Amino acid sequence: MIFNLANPLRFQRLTEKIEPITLNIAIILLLVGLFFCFFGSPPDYLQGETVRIMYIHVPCAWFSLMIYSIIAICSIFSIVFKHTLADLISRSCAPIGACFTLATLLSGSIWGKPTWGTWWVWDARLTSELVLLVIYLGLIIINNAYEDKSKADRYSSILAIIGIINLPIIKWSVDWWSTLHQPASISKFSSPSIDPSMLLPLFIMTFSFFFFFISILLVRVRGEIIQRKIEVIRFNRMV
Amino acid sequence: MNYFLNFINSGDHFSYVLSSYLIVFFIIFLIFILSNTKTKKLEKEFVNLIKNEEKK
Repeated sequence: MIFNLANPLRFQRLTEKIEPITLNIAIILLLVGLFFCFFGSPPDYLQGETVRIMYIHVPCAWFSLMIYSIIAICSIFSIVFKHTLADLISRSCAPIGACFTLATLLSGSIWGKPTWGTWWVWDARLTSELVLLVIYLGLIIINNAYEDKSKADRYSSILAIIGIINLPIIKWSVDWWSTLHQPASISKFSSPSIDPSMLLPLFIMTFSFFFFFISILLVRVRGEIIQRKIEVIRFNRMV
Repeated sequence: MNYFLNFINSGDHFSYVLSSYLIVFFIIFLIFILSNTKTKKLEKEFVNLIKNEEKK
């Protein structure tokens, strides 16, 4: 199945069918999520109403890491197997990941002001997230810097693989160093330290953002495939 | 409903929450709209190229 979809043309046909469905699911989940964010969840006993920023800040932070993981996996595939679709996905993911990282930093900064009393501190979690944004920007710049797309894909894959080192730093920075940022409240290995009334909107918003991400990714990959087709036609004309 | 009314009347906290939601949604919708516009433009360009090729 995976190798069947690995053909860019087959993938393009599939994206045309799936994209409207994912977008509709994302919008429905967003509306339901917003209802639970503002009508169904209580204020925090310590942070008050500002805890509602968590419902968008945390999903954005998760996706900033998840999208980078996708780029890293695609980069490994690209270097090892010289896979065109892996290059296209990696190239399409970088701007989306940069947007989620920027959204994480800005929403976190706004949350930090009433909670910590400052917009920004050079704390390990915040700094490593900022480094992630710089890496994303580096990938976007490399992807657009070369006319030879295969060269750009190779260099951006190398940067993406080197940048993997930043992911565990972001994840465990709150445990390794003494930081202002709170440690993880939702862990895979223990029960969450958040009340279910707050957990529900958080998960609905996470799924909504997930479908938004898929929808944007499919549109961008389709665009990349068409762009490559245009380049092939132009090249054939010149020859 | 009480949660929402308390939230609206929360003064400073209301503006912090509202501004963070507006910024995040603006960024996500911006990337969505830009991606869609770029792809549609490329689709048009591709169709035109194919038409020109057929004419030749």
